[in-house]
Amino acid sequence: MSDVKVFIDTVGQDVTSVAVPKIDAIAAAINDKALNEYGPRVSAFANELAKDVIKDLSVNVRDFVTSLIQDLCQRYRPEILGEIHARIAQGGVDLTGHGVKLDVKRQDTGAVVASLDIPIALRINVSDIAVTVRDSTIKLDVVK
Amino acid sequence: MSVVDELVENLVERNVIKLNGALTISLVDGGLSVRGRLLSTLRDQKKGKDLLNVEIPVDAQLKVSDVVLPLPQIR
Repeated sequence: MSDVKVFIDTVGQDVTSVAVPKIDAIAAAINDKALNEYGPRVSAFANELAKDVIKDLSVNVRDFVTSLIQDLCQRYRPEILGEIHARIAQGGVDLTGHGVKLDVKRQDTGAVVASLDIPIALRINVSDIAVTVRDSTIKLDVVK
Repeated sequence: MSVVDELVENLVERNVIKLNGALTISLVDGGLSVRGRLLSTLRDQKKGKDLLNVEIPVDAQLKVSDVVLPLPQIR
């Protein structure tokens, strides 16, 4: 078995050494030809085709999208619920959402179709405010 | 007009109060803090002389409860 394996390996190496350069050469030739001659033609064709497709279908797509948006707007309405609590904390203001959610409801029945909870927890840092009083004069006046 | 009234009137008309100082307003847990120092000087304008200096240390805390903002409805 060992002899057969050596034999096959030897033949394989020989074939590889001869065939690979030839395959490389023909691949390079095809590549050059395709790149320089067929490539621009295919590119030009594809370009024209894309233009035609866009030209023909853009009106349809636009009408479809417009109609879809109109239908959706007529069918559903969004509703935001909840409260934001603002609390003064050390060095800033904490904003926390309580029960904040976005409901999408049916326009006709008012039934909730989908609900998205929106967690809100923000902190707004506020630096110290310095107030300087310089030579402010308080004049007193007698009421006569 | 009584003598006292005239006295007060004269005092008030010839004197002014000048204020100097610095305050720092900062946010603390649950409210505001005001700290600093004010210097008040009572000055006799007629004599051009300071009569009284008052130093006023300020350390005040203002409690502010939570503010609830209901979210606006989309119409």
